[in-house]
Amino acid sequence: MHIETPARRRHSIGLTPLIDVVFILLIFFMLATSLMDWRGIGLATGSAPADSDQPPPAAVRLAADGQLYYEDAAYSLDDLAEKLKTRLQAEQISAAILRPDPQVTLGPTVRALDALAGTGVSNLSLGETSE
Amino acid sequence: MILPTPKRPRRTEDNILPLINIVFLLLIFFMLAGALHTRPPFALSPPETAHADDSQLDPDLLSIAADGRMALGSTSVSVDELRTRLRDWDPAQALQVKADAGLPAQQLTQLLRDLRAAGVAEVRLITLHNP
Repeated sequence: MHIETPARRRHSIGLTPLIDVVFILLIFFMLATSLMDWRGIGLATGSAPADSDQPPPAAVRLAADGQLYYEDAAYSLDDLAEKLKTRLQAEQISAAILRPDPQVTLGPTVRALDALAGTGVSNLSLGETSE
Repeated sequence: MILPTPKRPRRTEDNILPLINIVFLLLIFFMLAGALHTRPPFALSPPETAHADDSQLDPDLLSIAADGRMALGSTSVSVDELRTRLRDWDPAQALQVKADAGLPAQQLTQLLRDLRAAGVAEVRLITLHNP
């Protein structure tokens, strides 16, 4: 009796070198890529001349203790966002300029800018404290 | 007549195939989901925001360390070098700036003024998303 043995599969290219290369590629991409979720806040540098038809920008001062001052009154982040939102809807302001005090670092500044961006103010800028 | 089927020795290639499948899937995942970026020659931790828009990082973004060192793409630059490098910058294009959260905010304000002089109208401050 003759039993047919199944024909052996043939690999024209060896599998092991291929796996090696794929592993090396995998390790390269794992180390070189970043999966971070980057965001961006647009800041005007102030080179465009102000449009005189537009309402004036809201100037907000950021103190070193994290307190925000707008029109000589102190606000927390959430209160100021509410205030600016109503102002923006009434078209009393068109843009916002944040003026951080000298000791303030970028972390709290960006937190304030983020809150301002959340109100819907489209034109944000950073300015120096006038004092 | 019942013949016992001859025991085929399991080949190592058959064992490895599922592993290769998974490695291939991982490779494709990292290739598609990750992004390759140029890295500045110093470490920096950008601030976090919740409301900022999605952003793809440019290869020639400006990085600023907490101590004020700057790099355009992956090469260190001084303020003067930055000015010459940005001489033919398209004013309609926003310059991406990735600054450390510990950088004094006034240094960034100062830089915005320098950038305005160099002809950059808009800056995009790069942040990490923190919902």
